[in-house]
Order: sequence, then structure tokens, then C-alpha cells
Amino acid sequence: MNRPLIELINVTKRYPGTIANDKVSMRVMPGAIHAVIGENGAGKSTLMKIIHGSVQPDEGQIIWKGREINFAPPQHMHALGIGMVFQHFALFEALSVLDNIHLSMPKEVARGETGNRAKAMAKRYGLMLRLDAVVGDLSVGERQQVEIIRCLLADPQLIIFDEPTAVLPPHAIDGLFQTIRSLAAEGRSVLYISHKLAEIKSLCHSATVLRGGQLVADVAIEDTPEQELAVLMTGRALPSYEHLPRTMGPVKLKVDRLSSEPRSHQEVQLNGVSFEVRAGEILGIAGVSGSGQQELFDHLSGERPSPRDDAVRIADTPVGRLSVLGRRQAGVAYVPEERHGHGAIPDLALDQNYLLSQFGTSTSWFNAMGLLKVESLRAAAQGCLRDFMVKAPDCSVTAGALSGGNLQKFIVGREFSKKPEVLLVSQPTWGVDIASSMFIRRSLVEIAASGCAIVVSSEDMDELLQICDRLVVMANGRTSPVVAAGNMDPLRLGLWMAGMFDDQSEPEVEVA
Amino acid sequence: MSARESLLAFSLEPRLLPSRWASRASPLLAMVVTATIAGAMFALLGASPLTGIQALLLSPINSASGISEVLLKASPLCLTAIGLSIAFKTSVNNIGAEGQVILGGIGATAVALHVPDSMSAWLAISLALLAGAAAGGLWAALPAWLRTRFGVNETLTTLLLVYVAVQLLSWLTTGPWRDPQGLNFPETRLFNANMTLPKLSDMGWSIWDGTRLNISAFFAVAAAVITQIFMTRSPMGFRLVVSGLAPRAAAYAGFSASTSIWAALSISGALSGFAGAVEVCGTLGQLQAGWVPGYGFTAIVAAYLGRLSAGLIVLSALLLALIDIGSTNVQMALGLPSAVSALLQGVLLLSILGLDLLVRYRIRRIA
Repeated sequence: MNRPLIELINVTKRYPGTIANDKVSMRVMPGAIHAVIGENGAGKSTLMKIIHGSVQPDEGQIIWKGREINFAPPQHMHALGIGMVFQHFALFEALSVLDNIHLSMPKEVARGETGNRAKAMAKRYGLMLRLDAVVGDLSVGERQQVEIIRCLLADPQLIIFDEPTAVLPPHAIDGLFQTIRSLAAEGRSVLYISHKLAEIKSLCHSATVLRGGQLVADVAIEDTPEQELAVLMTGRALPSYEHLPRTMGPVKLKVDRLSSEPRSHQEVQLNGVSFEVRAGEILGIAGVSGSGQQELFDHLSGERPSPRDDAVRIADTPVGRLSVLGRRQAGVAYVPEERHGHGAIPDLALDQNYLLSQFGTSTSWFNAMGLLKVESLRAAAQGCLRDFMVKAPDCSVTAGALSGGNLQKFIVGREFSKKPEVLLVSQPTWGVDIASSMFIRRSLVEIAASGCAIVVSSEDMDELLQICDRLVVMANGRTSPVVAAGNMDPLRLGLWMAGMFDDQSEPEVEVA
Repeated sequence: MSARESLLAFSLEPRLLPSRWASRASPLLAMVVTATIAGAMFALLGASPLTGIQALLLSPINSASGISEVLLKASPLCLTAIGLSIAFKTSVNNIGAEGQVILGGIGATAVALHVPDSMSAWLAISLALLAGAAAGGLWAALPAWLRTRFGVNETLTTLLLVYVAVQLLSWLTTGPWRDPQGLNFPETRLFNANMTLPKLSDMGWSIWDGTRLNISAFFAVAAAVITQIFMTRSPMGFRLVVSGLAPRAAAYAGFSASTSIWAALSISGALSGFAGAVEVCGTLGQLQAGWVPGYGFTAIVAAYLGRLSAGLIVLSALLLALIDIGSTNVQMALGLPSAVSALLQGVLLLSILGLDLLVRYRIRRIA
């Protein structure tokens, strides 16, 4: 029986109000590619930081090559032979590749020697390396290779890859996998963190599944079908909520095969996104963040117009090519995910922030001389504070002075005040306290009851099930079929979140 | 590790809540610091500190003609700085106001040399000033076009266009516009009487008798008032402020980024051009190849010193004009070398910036 390279026993890490890792145990054998799977917030990152040494656990043991180590700082773990390739690279863009690598080398190694070693390393693993290129000029894939080489020069026994494909264009992924496989073939162990099940299935040998900070399962990848992994990952039986009956009107928003051209590698390409929302209905968009939700909202709000006019229709009028102002005129209102600097400006007073999304509406806030009607703006902003229970002394305080919950209530109230036909809401309760979250959810249901069509994107499945009539799942820039919220089950949700809805010829389930 | 720590024994930490009082008082404190350092410097040079400080801060404003000179110097500086504040608030780095001022002078001269002297003075001068503003605005629109069409950084292009403007000025004054009776000096003929800005003494303000003060000071105050209203109450002003603070929020509001860039650069260029026209039609009365306004660059300082707010910029422009004239007086009164003037301005700026830093940050000893 082989001895594990590293073993974690009952590792626990608490943060105020939450337990990030609750008695998690895990073992990684030499030469294994071991996956750590879980949804966002499952505790993957904390666990990796504990192994890397940058976070100290509260309880538990770490055994390295059969010897217990007392939670040591990163330098110590580094010296033992643990390296990590971070999702967000720590490279100096203005410096050359060689300088970046040389900075992480021990002092006694000469610059030329660093270059030779890096070249040898690149050759050994088939990596592209242009030592004198400036990092700022490199593609994301090339930068990742610099990070990998920098990590490998320390000759680590265990290498942690934190969602390495999240930033990579598809064609660069194969190369990365080959590198990882050859590392494992040499007897090094790899910890591979991801929520992309197809990748894990093709690359990894074994997996630890985390959910809500707890260890759910330790599985051998070979014996576990993808579906089972998906169910393990998303887990629990979905709660059911009673919905008050609402009358649905005509279709207010119709999205028809909406596709996009990404402007950078970080952007997800929308691919044939289609759904429709009726007056009085709330459609929920589920999915792991970064599956194209932000890009979808950019295209619905008009911040990114589409090439095709009929890709987006508001109340049967094609608006795909219209700008933000045109769409607002057609009745679109939008609560973005990011409050600071997108939905509101922290440095401006609340009344100015109220004005922010009023351009293009029928109400004019400027008098015959073209000057702002200060009093009526203030009265409107003050009314919004009152109606949506925003805790602020008055509308002259800056948006930055409000708590997340209060600012979010203000933004929802501001958007509702325009009596929109279609309300887009991204992450309605992200970073919002519980009381405000409940208030916002209740408001959204009331706004829908008043005849508005609402699209809500959220990573909180409970939230979506609580307020939505129907659900659609986004993965890799595509949308799943639309189902009634009550008909969503964990298995289907897990599969769809992993992007597996192609061969599912589910008939669209409409609510009466 | 320990070696590095002992080198960096102090660090700056941002203050959570910068005191409002301190931020208002810091320019005044900076004056006191400047006066103290200046006094010490005079003493080291063997001159009387009190005479020096008196010459620096009081002598420029102890007579009507002194005040008139400070106002004459402050007005174009103020106009230019107010224009720049609009660009800076939009986060557009127009650092080429100097060139836009020169173009303003050229625009005004183009009108002045070609308008008959029978035209009414008010119409003629209005035309010249408008031409100056238009020329400055167009000169600044060039970087706007380069930025919005090709993504060229406006910090670079606005600055480089200063040198083009200087060459243009030199070509015009040595070539097509050179005064045939001017003994070959590189300058245009003197403008007709209907082309010179009215002096306050000629308008019946007897306290300004014998001074050169013209109506440019009114323009500066008017520009400050209009800009304040424009930035706080007009849709375009709101758009510019939003674009400057948060580009993402501007896109959310429905404001196009390129419109804001065009507007910010054209407006700031037009105000600089207006300042140049005021200078050419006012104190100069002609266009000269050797004309180096200088305040195109000083205006950057004046704009930030005035915290990019039109009202405060009026004060900062007055302060900078006072120090400028005061340090020339110091030079003469104490018989000190001319470098003293630049040195004093440097001390003032450093004390202002240093105090501003201390308002926002605290110094902490690293344990």
C-alpha cells in the first residue's frame, strides 16, 4: 500500500458567522491528479489556501509524507515542495518574462542561470517560452505558462491548480492538460480545482467533493458517471415554495438566438440564448457565475447592442440594436450586479444617483432653460427612500455611505419608479443583509404582480426557487430549456449547470 | 527581510475620514509654511526675512496698479484652469492647454487683422474672442478625434500639439502675418483700437485710473459662475461628472464615452483659446513669435489646487498670480538672483501638495 503524499484529517476553518471548512479530510497519492469539486462558496479555495499555507486552520492535522506538519507559513510549505498556480496571475506586466521568473528565484541564482533553467523546464514540458518578451504583451495562455514554469522551478512535489481553465481560451486548454499529465507521469501530485465536470472527467483520477464547507464524497473518477458528480456537487433536495397565483399577460421580453462576439478572453461568448418572459412573470437564471450572465445582461440592457435587431424584443418591438437610452424608452429597467460604480456611484449623492438612470425616460428632470429641477429630483429621490425603506438621513448623503442592503433597496426602488415593462435584476441580494434581502425579494414579487416582466439572475438557488415562476440555466454562454420552478430537480439542475442540456429533448414546461 | 524593514521605517496609511476642516485650511497653512521657508531662505542669503516676506506677499497688492497686475495675470490663468477642471473631472488628461491658448491667440489675430476698423468695437472684439475660443476648441478636438477613433492616449497628443502650436505661431508671425513696417521683428502689426479689450479706467472706474486692468477679470468670474452651474445643473455637466467618476456607470446611464471625451476636450480647449484671445486683444495688442503664455501649464496646478471646483479655482489662480508677481518683487527688492522666483513657486507647490497628502494620509512608524 502506497503512502499518501499529503493527508488532511478533520481540517476546520471558521470565519465569523460561517464555517468555511468543517472537518474536511482528504488524501492525495503520489502521481495522482486529484480534483476538488464544488460550487462557488463550497470551501474549495479556503482548503487550498490551508494547504498552500496562506490560511491557518483552526483544527485538524496535515500529514506530509507521513509526518505531521504544524500549519506553517507559505515559505515553509514552499520549501517542503508545495506549489500553486493561482487563478489570478501575480506577474509584473511591465517586466520581461525572464525578470518575472528571476524575481521568484533564490538570491544566489544568477540571472543567466535562471534563464537556462527556465528554458530547460519549458523544453521538458513542451511549453512555449519567450524569455525576453514583456509580460504585458503575452496572451492569457502564455502568462499562465510563465506562472507554471515559475512554480515548477522550485521542483514541487504537489502542485495546486486553482480553476486554471477559467481564464483560458478553449484552444489553450488541451496544452495545459498535457502539461498536467506529464507532471503526474513523473510522480508529482496535482490538485485540480474546478467545477467543470467534463474537464475533471477527462483529466483527473480521483476527486473530493465539497458542499457548504463539508466533505460530501471521495470518489474515483473512473467509477463515477458525470451525472453522479453533478448531483454530488449540487446536492440537497431542492426546497419548494408556495407561490401566490399571479395573472400572466402577454410576452414582454423575447430573446431569440442571441449570440455575441467576445471582446477579450475573459468574456464568455453568448451562443443562441433564447427565452421569453410574460407580463407578471419572474424568470430565474441559474448557473455558476461566469457562465455568461453578465454578458447576457449587457446585451439585454443595451450596454452592448446586438448585431441583430430582432435578437431582443420588448413587447414585440425589436430593440436589439438600440442603445441603453432607446431600450429604456421601450421600458427596460436594470439593477446590475455591481452596485458601486455600475448601478450607482459611491461618490455622488443619492439624488444624483437617482438621476443616473432617468435619461431616456418620458419624465424630464430639466426645465425650459435646460437646468436640473433640483426640487422635483429631490422629492422623487426622497419618495424612493421612503417607499423602499432605505435607511438614510436624506438624499444628500453619498451612495457610498449606505450599507449594501440599503443601497440595493434604493436601486431597486429607483428602477421600479420608472414603471418598467421589463426589469432586469442581476444578483438581487449579493452582499445584502437578511432583512433587506427579504424585503427585496418581496418587492420583486409585488413588482411582477403589477404587470412587469422580471428576469432575475442569481447563484442562490433558494432565492430563485422562492421568487421565480420559471427557471433557465446558463452554462458556457448557452441557455438550457426553460422549466417551471416546481419542476426543477437536483439531478437536472446539476447536469444543466455543468452544461449538459444538448441531448436533453425536454419539452418546454409552461406554467398555466 | 529585517534589512528591508529598517529601511522602510515609516509608511503612509490612508485616513478613514479626512477632516473637512483640515482640507479647507490646508491651502492657508501652505501659505504660512511657504512664508516660513521663504523667510529662512532670505536669512540664509543674507537678506532681511521680513522685508522679503513683505515683498513676496504684500507688495504686489498694496496699490491699485499692483492689484491690477495681479488680476491681469490671474484672469487668463483662471479661464484656462476652469476649462481644464472640466476635462479633469471627466478624467480626460488635457495637459496641452498651452497650445490651445496659443491657438486662441492666433484665432483672435486672424479676425483682428482682417476686420475693418470701422466695425463697432463690441462686435469686433466679440468676433475676435469667439474666433479664439473656436480655434482653441478645435485644436483640443484633434486629440479627441485621435482618442475616440484610434484609441491614442490624449495625455500624449495634447502635450505634443503644444509644440506644433508654437511652430505655427512662429511661422505666422515670421511669414504671412509679419508687420511690413515692423523692422523685421517677428510680430504682427498692432491691432486697431476697436480690437483691444476695453480698460476699466476708460469705462469710468476712477479707482483703476493709470492701471492696465481690462475687462478680462469679469470674463474669469463669469466663466466660473457659468461653469459651476453647467457642471452641477446641466445634463451635459452631469454626464461629464459621471463619465469621470465611473465609466461603467456612465454606460449604464446611457452616456457614450466618446461624446464625453469630445465635449470635455472641446470645452476645455475653447476656454483656453478664449484666454489666449483675451491676452492677445488685451495686454499684448498684437501677436508675437516670442509669446510664451506659460499659464497653459500653470493652469494644471491652479485647477488641482482649486480642487477642480470653479469657485476655488478663482482663489487658486489669484494666489498663484500673487506669488508669481511677488517673487519678481523679491528679486528686485533684495537683489536676489532670478532663480528665487521659480524656487518660491516650487516651495509653495510642494507645501500645498505635502499638506494635502497629510490631510488624506497619516504617517505611521513601522514597528
